[in-house]
Amino acid sequence: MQPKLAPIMLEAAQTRVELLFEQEQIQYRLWFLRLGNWICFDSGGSEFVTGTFFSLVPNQVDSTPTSAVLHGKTEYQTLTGTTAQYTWKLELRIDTSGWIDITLELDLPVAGRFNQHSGHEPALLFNLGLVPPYDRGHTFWARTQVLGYTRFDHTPNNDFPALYYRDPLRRARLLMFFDTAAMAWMGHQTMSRFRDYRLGLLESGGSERTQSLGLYGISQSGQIWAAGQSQIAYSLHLKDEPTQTNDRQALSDLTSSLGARVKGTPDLEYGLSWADLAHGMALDLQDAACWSGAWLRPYVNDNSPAWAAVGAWEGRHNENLGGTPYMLWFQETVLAALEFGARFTNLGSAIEAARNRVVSSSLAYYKSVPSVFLGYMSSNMSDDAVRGTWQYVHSINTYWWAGKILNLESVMQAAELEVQESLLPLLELHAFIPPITHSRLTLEKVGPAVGFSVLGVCADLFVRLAANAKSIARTRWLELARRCIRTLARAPEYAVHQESNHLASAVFAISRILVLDSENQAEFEAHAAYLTHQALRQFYWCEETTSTENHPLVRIRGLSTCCTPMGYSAFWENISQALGFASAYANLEPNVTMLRFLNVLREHAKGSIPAAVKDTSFAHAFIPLEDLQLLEVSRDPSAGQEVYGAGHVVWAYALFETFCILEPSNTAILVLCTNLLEPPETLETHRTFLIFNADTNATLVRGKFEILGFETHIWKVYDSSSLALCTLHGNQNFEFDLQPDEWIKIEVIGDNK
Amino acid sequence: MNTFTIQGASQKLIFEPSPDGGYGFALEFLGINGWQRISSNNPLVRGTSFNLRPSLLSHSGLDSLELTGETKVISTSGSSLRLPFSGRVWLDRTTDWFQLEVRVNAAEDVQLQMIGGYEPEIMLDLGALPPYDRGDHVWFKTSINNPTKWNDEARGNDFPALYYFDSYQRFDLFMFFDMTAMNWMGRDNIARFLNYQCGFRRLYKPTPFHEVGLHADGFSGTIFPKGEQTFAYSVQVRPQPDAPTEALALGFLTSECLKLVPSSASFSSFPSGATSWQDFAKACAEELMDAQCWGSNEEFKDYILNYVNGYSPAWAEAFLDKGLTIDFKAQPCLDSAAFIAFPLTVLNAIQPKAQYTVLLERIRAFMQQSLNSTHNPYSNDVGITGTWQHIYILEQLWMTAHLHNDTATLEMLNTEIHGRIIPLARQSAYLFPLSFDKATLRKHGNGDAYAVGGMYAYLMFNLFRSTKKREYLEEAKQALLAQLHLPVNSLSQEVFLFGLGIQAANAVWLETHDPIFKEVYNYLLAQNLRMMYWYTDQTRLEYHDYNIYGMFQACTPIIYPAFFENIECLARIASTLEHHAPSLGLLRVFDHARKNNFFMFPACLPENRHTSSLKHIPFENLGILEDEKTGWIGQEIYGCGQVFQAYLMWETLAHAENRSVMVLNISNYQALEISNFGQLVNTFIIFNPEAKIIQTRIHVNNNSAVVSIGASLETLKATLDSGIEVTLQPSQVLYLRVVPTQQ
Repeated sequence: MQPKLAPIMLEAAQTRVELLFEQEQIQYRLWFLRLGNWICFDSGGSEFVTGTFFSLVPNQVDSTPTSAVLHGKTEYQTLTGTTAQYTWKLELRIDTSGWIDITLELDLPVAGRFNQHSGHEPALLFNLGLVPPYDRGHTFWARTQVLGYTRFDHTPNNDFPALYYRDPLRRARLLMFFDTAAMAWMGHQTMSRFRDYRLGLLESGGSERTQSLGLYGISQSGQIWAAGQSQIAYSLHLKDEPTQTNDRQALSDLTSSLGARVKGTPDLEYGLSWADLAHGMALDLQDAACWSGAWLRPYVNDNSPAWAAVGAWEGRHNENLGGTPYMLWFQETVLAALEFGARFTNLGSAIEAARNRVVSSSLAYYKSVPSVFLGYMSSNMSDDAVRGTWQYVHSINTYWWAGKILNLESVMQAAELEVQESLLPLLELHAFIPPITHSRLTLEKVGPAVGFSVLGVCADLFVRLAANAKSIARTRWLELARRCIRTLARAPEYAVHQESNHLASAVFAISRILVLDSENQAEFEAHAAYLTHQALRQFYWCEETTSTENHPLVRIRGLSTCCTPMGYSAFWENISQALGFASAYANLEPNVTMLRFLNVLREHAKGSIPAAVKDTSFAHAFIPLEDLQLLEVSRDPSAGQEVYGAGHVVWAYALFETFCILEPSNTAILVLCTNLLEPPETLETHRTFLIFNADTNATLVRGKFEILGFETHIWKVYDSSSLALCTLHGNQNFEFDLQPDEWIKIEVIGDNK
Repeated sequence: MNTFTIQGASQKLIFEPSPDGGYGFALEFLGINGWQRISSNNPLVRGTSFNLRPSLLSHSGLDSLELTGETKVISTSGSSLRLPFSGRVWLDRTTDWFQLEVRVNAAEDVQLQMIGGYEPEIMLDLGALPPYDRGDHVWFKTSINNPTKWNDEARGNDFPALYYFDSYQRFDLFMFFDMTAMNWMGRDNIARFLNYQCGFRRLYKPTPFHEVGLHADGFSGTIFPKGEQTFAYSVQVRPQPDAPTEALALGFLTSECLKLVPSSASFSSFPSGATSWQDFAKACAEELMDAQCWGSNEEFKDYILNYVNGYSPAWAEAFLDKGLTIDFKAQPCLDSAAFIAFPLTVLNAIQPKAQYTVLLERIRAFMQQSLNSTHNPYSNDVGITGTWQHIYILEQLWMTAHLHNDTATLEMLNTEIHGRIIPLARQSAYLFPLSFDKATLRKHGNGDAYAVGGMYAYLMFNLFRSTKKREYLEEAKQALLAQLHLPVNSLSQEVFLFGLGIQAANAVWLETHDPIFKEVYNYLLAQNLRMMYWYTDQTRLEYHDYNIYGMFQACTPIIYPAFFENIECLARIASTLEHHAPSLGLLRVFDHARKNNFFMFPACLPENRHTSSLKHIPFENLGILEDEKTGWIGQEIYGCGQVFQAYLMWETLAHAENRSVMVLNISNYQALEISNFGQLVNTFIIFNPEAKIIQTRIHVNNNSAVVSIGASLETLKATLDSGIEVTLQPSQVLYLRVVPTQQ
């Protein structure tokens, strides 16, 4: 029996952690400072890890005023039923911002078996004590809780492992972040992360009900803890929060507080630039594997093992995807990118050839069916077909945009007619709450669920129509766009997510609404900020470390999920999202956490392209893979190489590299071209940029703008804090200092004589 | 070993030898390719202790099987223990439900193991998850999981049922769990809906598979009680070619479950002391004049309270927990006045009595003074307000003012409606927050109260009725459409908001003939019924003092039945039934409620539960497993308007001499002016809930009317007398219409 130690109090940044040694295992309590008084947040101690396998009684304790390190040994049952001991080290540290980082390192000589008599373990729970009296009649309504991971129809995705909780009685808020990168032990033999785990409040007990908060299992994939070293790691942040918060404030607090801890630089650099990848893509895209007759295929060789498996499950085999536009927006998405690449980049003949083939294919189609939009999205569809709503809206949007950039008025008119005759009735029929799927014939909802986020694409389309319209029509389109944004902003906080790039479309739409008409500016700026925080939830905040099944060069961190709850990262959505936010930031103040993620994404997104990760098993190695799989979907077949997303290699090049070249030493500097989605004629003479320092140190930024065919340049530099205007002269290299997290906006206006 | 099959028209339940020993059961339905299997090898109950697989089966009829078996469990003393069980499985062809009932009988308390999950559970294994589950399957399955929950977190304790549509095999699967019979649940094991939920679940062990049923995500204790205990549930599968929306699916589920509502004759009875709603209305009016319901201070000579004597132990505890105290006796309660004044005005107009008139005048006097004071919630822009409370008080005040032709109050309310309520609705895209800032109209705090949209629509429709201005009708339509399309699990909060939405949908449908509003009506009715108590709580002896079947969960997730909400829901639903023929199940619900709501009064509860001398003022809550203390919230003065509403619904204008027969007024809420009451046509449903023929006399409380009666509204036949002899077959329904002769 060890002698009981006296409690230890750690303190920093208005936070105290008290370590208690009185119970069977070590516990901790949290304190926060309010008006000079220390207030205990809990009503009893919390275990660092909950579970019978994790009984932690230290035999050595070392501490400083802000940290403690504890060591111990714990007995456990091996797979053969014998008893063994693992050694452990628990480290606890409060940083200068008040974050409490907790890391438990285990070292098992042989694998162990969990005892699950008291629920699923391990759980990481903070003990809030007894449920307050009349909780559900009173305190329940006043508390604020946001669970980080996104959900669709109550199925959790595997993205943001964090939560926010404001307690109305203690009037303080607690943030929790679970470092799933460190917890690489999660897997099919233990807890399959968000297959098994849930975030939030957990009530337990019999007559006396208690509440705890954190990460807990509702099921358990396996019971085996592997031999060797492993870590359990999470972080807490507690602060006084005297007034009730709403879910917007909570989400902002959560993403901003954690955003400040996000490393803004990539974890590896691929050898190939976006220019290299775009060039290779343009060559691959001309291969027959990407074409089915006159049309681009959706996947290389129409090979999608995932969809093939679904077809087989449903009794369908070898569905013919070729010969006609399977979904024309696939091709138009590529078309827009290639058109841009051919006009504004120096990728050469490869991109020209690819562009010419795609454009001529599309032009032939527009000519053959100029005004039959209802029969247009997929020629495989019968009149009474059920169609996906976002795919439908997206198809009108890309169709209109294709008309715009190819200067085809008839195509734009057909798209607008479709909006008038079908899309608006669809939205009005559903009170602007779009269904996931609807009947093409009746427009009525078919099947389950709601796809709020498609309102972002609708708003984007309506703003495009507004910008192209005369005054009365413009007012109407803008009002429709505002209705979309307001509805999206009033959707349940936990139900706005689906296709991840849609929120970027919404924020981009808001930025242009405010340019066209500044009515209700504060309201819509608040919506933009809120929807950005919502979009941040769909990023992968932690690296995937649970498996070596992925290519060792692939990095997930900083990429966004493809679509909630699909559980993997996808190329098209990542670049679309970056393009949307970059474009929004031409007019809106950027979110620094988003910029950090975009700077990581700038490099990590290359991992979707086999050529970038030196994977020689693909014949068309520059066409991106749709899915970078994570633990939760790791046994699903691959979705395939997305021909429809290939054009986005060009967009990535345009976004990150095309017009502004930095010196090689500026590796942590993000450059975004922020007006790529302007009409081509505007881009000829007017380009805007955002430059951001993602480094932790002040950096001298040096580079130059590569502007084709321009004779003179006028640079207007906006300082992030004052937005004061100044002017730089000449066509020479630029250089300026940027502090960590600082950004500037640059506008380049060319006199294209 | 043989197989044993019970076959319906399009579904089969088959017991087959199980590789795990004994028999497991499978389910099949008749699809376009013949019989298709959806689930196999299911034990009757699941868990380390409870994998109940019968060893002996025998047909006890074409549609019925008897079964027995035995398993081994561990007692709480640690010894090995026999757990014999027996049961019956049958197909009820009147409902198309398979019924499964198993009784276990342990000699000692059983130590639940909770290994690898929680036990006991009742699950149907649907096999491996489809490939690319989250890329395809997740978008096309339709599932209705229960109980309701608010803001995607804490669950209520209402509807013990589930629905699942499989988009690949194309079938509907329904399950209903009989929580009345499964009274072993408790805080020593699985505390019903504190731990259980009904619905779809993915599991990975580690191979992905999916299942539906009653499953736990935690437990409260590990002791399963000795003695005979019952597991009872119902299952139905049927082909479904078309993917239903959740709105349709919820309608399917409530419709099928309404078939399971037991006859109130066998399940509910009037409590001792429940003389009549007429007596209780009169006594309630008298008791409301008592000093225990009123206060006074410098500003108000006479104000009404929220709870009798301002006594609410729950609120007192809640405030104490925050280091505060609350004195409800010192607080004038406009809510009480508004909520009582409207139904009391109607009752007093139909059936003037001194008790009603005096009380109404007193309440209106306070109301008027309150609206002319700084207590008027609509006179300033300061502060945060609960959305449903703000709009509901306004709606009730508006109704009362309109009935009394009180133009000054109407003008004040109209200013609020146009200056704040309509802008709030539009700014919120008809998606109302739980609370908002009165100055900015922005959401305050956490969460939403989307069902406010239904109430808003009803207010707008009445404005349209009153003014004929179509802008109000358009507002009502927008708000109702949003109700239909919001996520199916995002609407449930204060339950009676559905009632107003149901009325609004009905009214807009009748006005516009647009079938989508009929769809909204059906959907909101299903949402409302989803929050009903489909069981009575028998888990503790003290709960045997009353019966909560047919009551409603006050608010998700407040987890108790409350009188005000019980009647407010039903009275509003009743007012729409002239245009929506009710099912037998729904009529049974009304009949259960007619009897069981008397249990909300101290007069019908044991003396040890009384908290004041006023026995005809209802308690806000009855104790229930998930929230245990009867009367702990207080005796709700604010809910007394619903005593009058209950009387208006069941007895005021017509009643049956034989009390077993229910006479339901389906014409309430018609009038916007008092002067109209004498000219209103009133329609009633006469319903025999008993399993026997009843002869009785129906009394109509109108001496100058033409009374018609018939099997449907289309077959009404005129009779001359106001007292009508009827002979009612078991479960028979008649319609009665009373047309004043002045018309």
